[in-house]
Amino acid sequence: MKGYKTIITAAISVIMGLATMLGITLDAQTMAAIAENLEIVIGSGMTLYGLVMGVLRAFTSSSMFNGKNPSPNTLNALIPVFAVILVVGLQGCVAQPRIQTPEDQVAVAYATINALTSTTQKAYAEKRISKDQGKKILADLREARRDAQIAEDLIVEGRPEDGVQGLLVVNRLLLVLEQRIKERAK
Amino acid sequence: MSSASAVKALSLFIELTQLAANVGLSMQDLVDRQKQAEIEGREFGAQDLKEMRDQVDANLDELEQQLSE
Repeated sequence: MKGYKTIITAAISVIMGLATMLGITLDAQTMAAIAENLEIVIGSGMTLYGLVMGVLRAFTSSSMFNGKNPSPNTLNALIPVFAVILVVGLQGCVAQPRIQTPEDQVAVAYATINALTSTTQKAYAEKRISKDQGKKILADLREARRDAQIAEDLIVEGRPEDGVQGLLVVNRLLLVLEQRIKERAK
Repeated sequence: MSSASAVKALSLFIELTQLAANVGLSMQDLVDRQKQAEIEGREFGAQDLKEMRDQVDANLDELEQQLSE
C-alpha cells in the first residue's frame, strides 16, 4: 500500500505542478490534508469511477467507454470525469462534524462561510475572479453570516425550531457556490 | 476537445479541489471544537458559536480589505 500511495502522491504532485503553471496553487496545509487521507480519497474515487464507467458502458455504445478502441481524445474527454471523481474523493476525507442540535447546524453554516471566504480570497489573489465577482460573493457571504446570526439569536431566546431557519443559510451558500462555478466555467 | 478546453477543464477541476479542501479544513476545525467541548465536559454552545462568528467576521473583513486594495 505504501508504494501505491507514493505513486498516487506523485500523480497528484504532477497535477498540482500543471496547475501551478496555470498560476493556481494549493497551500502546503491543504496538500498535507490530502496526503494524510489518501486511502479514503482513493477508495471513494475508485468507487465512483466504477459506478460512472458502469453506467456509461451500460447506456452508451461509444467506443470511448468500452475499452476496445479508445480514441486519442479519450484522455482529454475524461478530464471532467476525473475531476468529479477526485472532488468527490476529497469529500471523503472531509471530517464529518456532529449535527445533532440547532447549535451544531449554525456552526456548520459558519464553517462553510469560512471555507467559501478562504476560497474566494485565494481565487482573487490568483486573479481567477474579478474584483466585481469578488464583491458580489462577499455581499452574499455577509448576508449568509447575518442569517446565521439570526438563527443563533433565536436559539439563545429558546426558539430552536425557528433557529432551524438556518437551513436557508445553507441554501444561500449553495447558490453562491453554484454562481462561482458557473462564472468559472464560462 | 481542444487544448484550450482541456486547460479550462483542468482549471475548473483545481478550483473545485481547492474549495473541497477548504471545506475539509473548516469542517475539521469544527470537529476539533466539538471534541474539545466534549473533553471539557460541556455542551458545544454559545461561547463556541461566538468564537466561530468572530472568526467569520475577521475573515470577511480581510476579504473586503483585499478587494478594496
